[in-house]
Amino acid sequence: MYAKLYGSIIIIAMGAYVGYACGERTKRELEVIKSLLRCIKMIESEIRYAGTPIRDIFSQIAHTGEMWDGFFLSVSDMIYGGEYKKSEDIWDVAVGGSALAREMNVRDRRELIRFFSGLGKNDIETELGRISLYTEYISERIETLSGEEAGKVKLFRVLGVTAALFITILIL
Amino acid sequence: MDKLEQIVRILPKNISRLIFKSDVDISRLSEIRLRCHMPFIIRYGRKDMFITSEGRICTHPENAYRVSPEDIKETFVLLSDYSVYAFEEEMKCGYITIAGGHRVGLAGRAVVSDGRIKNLRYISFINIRVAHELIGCAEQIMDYIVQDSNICNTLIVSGPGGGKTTMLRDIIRLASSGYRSLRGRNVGVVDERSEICACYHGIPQNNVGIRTDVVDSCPKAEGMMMLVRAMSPEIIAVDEIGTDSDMRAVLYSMTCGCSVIATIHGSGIDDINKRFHMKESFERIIVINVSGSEKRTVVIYDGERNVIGSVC
Repeated sequence: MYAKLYGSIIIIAMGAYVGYACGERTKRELEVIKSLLRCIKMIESEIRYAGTPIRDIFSQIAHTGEMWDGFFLSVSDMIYGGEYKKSEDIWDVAVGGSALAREMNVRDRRELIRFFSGLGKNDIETELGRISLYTEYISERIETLSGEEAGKVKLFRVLGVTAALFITILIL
Repeated sequence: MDKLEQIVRILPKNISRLIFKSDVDISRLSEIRLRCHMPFIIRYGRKDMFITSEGRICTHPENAYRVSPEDIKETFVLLSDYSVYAFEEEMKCGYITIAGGHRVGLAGRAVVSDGRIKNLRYISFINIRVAHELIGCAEQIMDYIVQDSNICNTLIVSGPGGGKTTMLRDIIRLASSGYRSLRGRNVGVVDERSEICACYHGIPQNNVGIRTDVVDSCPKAEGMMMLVRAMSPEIIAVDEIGTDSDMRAVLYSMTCGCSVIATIHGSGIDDINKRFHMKESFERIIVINVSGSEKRTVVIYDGERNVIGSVC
């Protein structure tokens, strides 16, 4: 009987943990995208006011303490290394290998690759236009995720505990 | 990074593979020409050679590798360091200087606004001019342009491709670092077309001496004023003076106590005597003559237009 009791507690605790982890994942996705937006704004300023080349911009961003530091540093190294000649290859490898990019959903990751693959290929006005469009997209995503965040976090936690209770009842 | 690596870095994989395979002699290479749908050409001196798809150098264009639009596009993205917007000003002038001082000329469709070139689109022609410094080429003429331990106001004259800029660069280096008993001096260089110092990200890629300050990609007149006011130069060096504003700036620099070393297009001393109204301001005129076999003869004149020396 004690074994059943302890087992039930463990199952419920695990269920609560899984629900909590899923809720935290949703929060983290939002933080990742907000950090990305700040990085994009930095890129925009550097391009608009200083015309800084991409590689140098990424080197600078890599030292700002943002979540994407490591990502931009690796891209800057890849550009400097000269191993990849096409920018599409650089971004495919960089985004594919980034744990941070994997925390975004599939569509956001695809838009990320599409935006960065086209970065640096146009004159300044077109470049700023593209950045403006992408910034708008990210801002909308932040708004959507922010609205859903509280609800989703609660839902995941409740689901986690409910599923654990259900499993406990089934086992018992 | 050596010269070949600096050049290959901006070439797409197709073309860099051919360059390596053909074992191009970088010391003789003067140009690499990429023209859309045309044979891939390299230039040794003034002679064109072609490279085949197998990476062999040949003299017939029929067998040469054909440059594709993708090759041009990739080269352009690489040469702009994935940052085309960062080179808008250079592109308006039709060239970009890359690391090593190599100048890459671009041609395509000009986007014009209010009668001025705003941008270049549909770039289909790329000319990579390999930079070669000729260190020491001015050593033989230094004794002629130094008087009372000072460098005279000197004008270097030759036709296109005569070696004016190469000579000027070496004079700058010697004046800046010092030569024999001549102490090194602060030299200010206005490098309007980045040909003298070949600055890349503001850093001279050519050896221009240890006391040289460079104003890069700046109009000559404004550049000279800036240098005189801010950098205390003892010598000002400029390339290809010609306009009235250039002349006024040269005179201003001279009246401020700077020696001026400048170059000008011309066929010889008579040509300068006829058309250049400021010739009296220069105490030395160096005329570079190029013969048919590309041999150069340098003749040095004093302020009275007397020949005081000649160097081959």
